[in-house]
Amino acid sequence: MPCIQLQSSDGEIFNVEFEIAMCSFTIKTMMVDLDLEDNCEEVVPLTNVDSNILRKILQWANYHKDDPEANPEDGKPVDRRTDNICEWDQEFMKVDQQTLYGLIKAANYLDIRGLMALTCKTVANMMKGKTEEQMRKMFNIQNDLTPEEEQQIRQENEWCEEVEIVAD
Amino acid sequence: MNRNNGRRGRGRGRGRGGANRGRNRNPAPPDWDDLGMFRPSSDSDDDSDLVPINGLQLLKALNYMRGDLSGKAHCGMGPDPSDDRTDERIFHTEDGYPVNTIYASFTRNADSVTEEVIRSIFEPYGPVKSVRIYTSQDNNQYDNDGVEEAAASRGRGRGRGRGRGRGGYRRYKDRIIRYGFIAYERCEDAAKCLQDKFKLKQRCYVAPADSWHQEDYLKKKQKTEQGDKKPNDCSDEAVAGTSNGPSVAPKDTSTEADPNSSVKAESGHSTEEAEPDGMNLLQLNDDCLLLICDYLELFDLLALRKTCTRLEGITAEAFKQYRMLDFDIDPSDKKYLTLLDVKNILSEIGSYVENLSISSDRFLKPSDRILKLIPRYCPNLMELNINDFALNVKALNGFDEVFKSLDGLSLVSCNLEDSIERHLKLAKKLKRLDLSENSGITGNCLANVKNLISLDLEGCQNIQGKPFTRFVEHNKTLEYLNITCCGRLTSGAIKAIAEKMTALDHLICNNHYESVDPASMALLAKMPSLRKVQFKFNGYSPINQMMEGFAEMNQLEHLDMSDGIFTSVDYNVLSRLTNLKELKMNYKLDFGDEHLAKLCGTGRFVELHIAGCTKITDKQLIEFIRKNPQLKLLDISYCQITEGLIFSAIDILKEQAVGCRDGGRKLKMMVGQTTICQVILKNTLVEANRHLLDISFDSTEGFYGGMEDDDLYDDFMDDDDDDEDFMGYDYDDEDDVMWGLDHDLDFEDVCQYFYDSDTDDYRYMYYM
Repeated sequence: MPCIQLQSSDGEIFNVEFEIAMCSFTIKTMMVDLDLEDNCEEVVPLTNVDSNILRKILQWANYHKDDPEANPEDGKPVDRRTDNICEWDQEFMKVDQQTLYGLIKAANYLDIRGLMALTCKTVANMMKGKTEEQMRKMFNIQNDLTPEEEQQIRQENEWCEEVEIVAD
Repeated sequence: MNRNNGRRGRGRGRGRGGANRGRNRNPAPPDWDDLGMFRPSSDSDDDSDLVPINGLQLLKALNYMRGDLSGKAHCGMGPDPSDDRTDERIFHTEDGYPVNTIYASFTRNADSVTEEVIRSIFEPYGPVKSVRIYTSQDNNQYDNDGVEEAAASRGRGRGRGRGRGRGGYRRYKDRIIRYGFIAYERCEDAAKCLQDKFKLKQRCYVAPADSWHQEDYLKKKQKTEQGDKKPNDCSDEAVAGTSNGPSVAPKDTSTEADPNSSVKAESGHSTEEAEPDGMNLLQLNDDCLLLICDYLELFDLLALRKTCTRLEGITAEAFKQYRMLDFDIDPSDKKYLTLLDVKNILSEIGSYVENLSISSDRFLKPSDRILKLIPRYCPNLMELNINDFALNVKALNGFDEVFKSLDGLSLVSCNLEDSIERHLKLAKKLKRLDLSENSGITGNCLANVKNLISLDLEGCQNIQGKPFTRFVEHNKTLEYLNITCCGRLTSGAIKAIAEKMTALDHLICNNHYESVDPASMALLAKMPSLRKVQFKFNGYSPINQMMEGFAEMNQLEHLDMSDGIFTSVDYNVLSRLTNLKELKMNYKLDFGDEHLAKLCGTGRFVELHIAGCTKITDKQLIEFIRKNPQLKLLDISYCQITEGLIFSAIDILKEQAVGCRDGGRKLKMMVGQTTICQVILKNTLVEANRHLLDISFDSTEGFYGGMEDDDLYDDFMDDDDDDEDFMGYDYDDEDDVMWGLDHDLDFEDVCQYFYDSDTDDYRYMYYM
C-alpha cells in the first residue's frame, strides 16, 4: 500500500496511506500538481495542523475512507439538517471546543468536505435553540454591540395598529 | 365561510409545498374545542380577544400546539386542577407573554384626547405605570376616485415606515385618530380593563397590545441582548459609543480588524500560540463561520446576530441566502408562527428578501396585521406569494410601493374581489400573476394588467367572458395560462385566446366549459406556439375535434389528459403526435395494449404516466421501455403489473447501457399500489442495478371526470359539514361508482392530487 508522509506543525511525521490522505482535496491537488503520485519519498509539511488534530483527522479519514467521494463543486450543504450524523461521528465529536475549532480550521485548510460538514453541524447543534446570551456564555463571546434599544422601542411604537381601529 | 376557505387553502398550500411535502410541516391542527376558549380566527375577530383566558391553560394550549405532548393530558379535561391557586385571571398574548400593556384607539374627537383624558379613563381599573400617545391618520379609508391622490396622501402619511404622521398629520380626507399604549402596573388590572371592552367602546377601542409592547417581553429581550454586561457597564458604553462615535473601538474589534481576509485569519497561527487560553469560536475564519451558519435555522441566526459585531457581520452574509423566504418552510423548527415571529424575522432580514411566500395555515392567528409587516420591512420584493389570507382593500393598504416593484405575484385563495384592480394597476412590472381560488373576481380586476407572461386563474369560477377577452387583447405575450374551472368563459373568450395569444406555450384548461362550443375549443389546438397542454376532467363532451387539431399541428411535446373517464378519446390520434415527449393518461380505463403499441413507434418518450390504466399489461410495457430509450419516468401505479416487468426492465436497461458513454439512463418507475411490494428492493438483481432502475412506491391518485364544474366544488370544497364528516367521507355514497375504481381512495389524497396536478406543471414551467 503506497504511503505518504505528513508532518504536523510540531514536527511529528505521520505515515499515511495514500488512499486516506486523498480525502483532503488540498493534498490531492498538490499531489497531482507536483506529480508526486508515484514518488512518496518526500515529507509533506502541514504547517497549520498540530499532531493532536492531525491524529484525529486521520482517525476520521480512516473510518470514512469508503464513503462516496464528495463532488468538489458542491461545497454548500443541500439542506440545514443537522440530525443526520452517524453514531460513530457523534462519538468522534465528543471533544472539547478547543479541539473542535482546531478540527474545523484544519478541515478547512486541508479541504476535507465531509469533516467540514460534520464539525460545522456539531457547532450548529451547540447553537440551536439558544438565546444570544446563552450563546455568548457557551462560546465565551464578548458582547461588543452598542445597545440601541431606545431607538428600537421608538420604532416599534410607530407601527400603528391601524387594523384594530374600529370605525363607528 | 371561513372554515371553508381555510380548508381550501390548506389543500392548496400543501400542494404548493411540492418537494418539501415529505417534511410534514403541516401537522393536523389541534382540536380547538379542546383548548377551552382559545380559538383561531382568520379575521381579527374582536370577541376572541375578549375572553379572559387563564394563563396556565393558555400556555398548555400553546405547548400542545407546539407539539409538546406532555401537555396533552390536560387538554380536553377542562381546566387544570392547579388553576385554583391562581385566582386572578390575566391575559396573554399569542406568544404567551402576560398582558400588562393595552392598546387603545380613539377615533371620535381624537383631538381632545390627552394623557389626562386617557388616565381618567383607564386609572379606575388600577394604577397605570405609563401612557404613550401617538397620532395618525385613519388611512384605512379607501379612496375610490383618484388612485394618484390616495397614493400621494398615503405616501406622505406613512413615509414608508418612518416619521409617519406623528405630530405632523394632515387633514386630508382622512380622519385624525389617536392611539396609545397604556401600561398597567399589574396584569390583572389590564385584564379587568379589557373585559370592559364593550363599555369602553363608547370612548375608544381597546385590545391587548402586541407581545413586543409587553413588559415581560421587553425585560427578557433586554436581558438576552445585553447579557453578561452589567447595566452600568452597558450604559457607559452606550454613552461612549454615541458620543465618540466609531473612533473608540471596543477592545474586541482589534482582533477581528480583518474579518474579510480569510487568508490572514487562517495564517493566524501565531495568535493562537500567543493566547494559550485557546481558540475561541471567533478565531475561525469567515468561511468556516458561514458554513456553520448554513446549518442554522432562522431564529438561531437571529440570536447569533446579536452576540457580537463580528458575528453580526457574518450573519448578515448568511441572511443573503434568504433572498427567497418561504414561511411555509422557514423556520422549519417551529410548527406555528406568530405575529411576533414574523416581525422578528422580517425586521432583521426583510431587506434581503426578494421572494416572499406566506400562507395562513402556518399561523395560530392569521390576521392581515401579519401582512402589514411586509411593506414595512421588505423594500426589495420582486415576488410575493400570499396564500389564504382574507385580503380586503384595507388589508392591502400600504402595499402600493410593494406592488410597483413586483414582477411575480400570487394571491391564492384570498377572497379577492375586483377591487384588487387598483393594486394590480400599480404593478406595472408584473410578469407572472396567480389569482387562483378567488371566486369573487369577474376579470374586471385584470383591466389594467398588461404584457403578462403567465396567468393562473384556476378555480376563479366567476371570470366572465368579456373582461377576459379584453385581458387577452392586452396580453398577447402570455406564455402560460391556467383557466381550470373558469366555467363561465365564453366561446368568444376562448376564440380570443386562440387567435391572439400567439406566444402561448403552456395551457391548462381542465374541466369543461359549458358555454363554449366544441368548435371554439378546438381552435385552441391550432395555437402556433403551444407545446404543453393539460386537459382533464373534460366531462362528457367529445374532444375529438380538439384532438384532431393537435394531430394536425403536431407540435405538442407534453399532453396531460388524465382522468375524465367518461370522455371517449380516439387514442389512434395520439400516434400522430410524433413530437410528444411526455404523456399523461392516468385513469383512462379503456386505454389498452393496442393503444400503447401504437405509441411505441416514435421512441421519443421521456415520461409516460398511465396510473390506473388497468388494461395495460407487462408485455406491452416491456416493449414500450425497449423502444423508448430516453424514457426517464414511468408511472404505472395502480396498474395490473407483475414483478416480471421489473426484471425485464432491468434486462433492457442493462442491454441499452452497454456502450453508453454516461453509463446508460436511469429510469424511475412508480409502482405504488400494485402487486409489487417493497420486498423486491432486497432482491440482489434489483439492488445491483439501482443506478439504472429507481423503483418508487409512490402512487398517483385519480380524480374522476364527468361532473359539472360546480358540483366539483360543491361536493369537495364547500363541504360545510363538520370535520368528522369530512374525514369519514362516506365511500358508500352513490358517487362511488363514479370513481370507477374499486380501491379505497383517501379523500385528502384525492384533493391533494387535484391540486398537485397543476402545480407540478407550474413548477415545470418556471424551474426547468
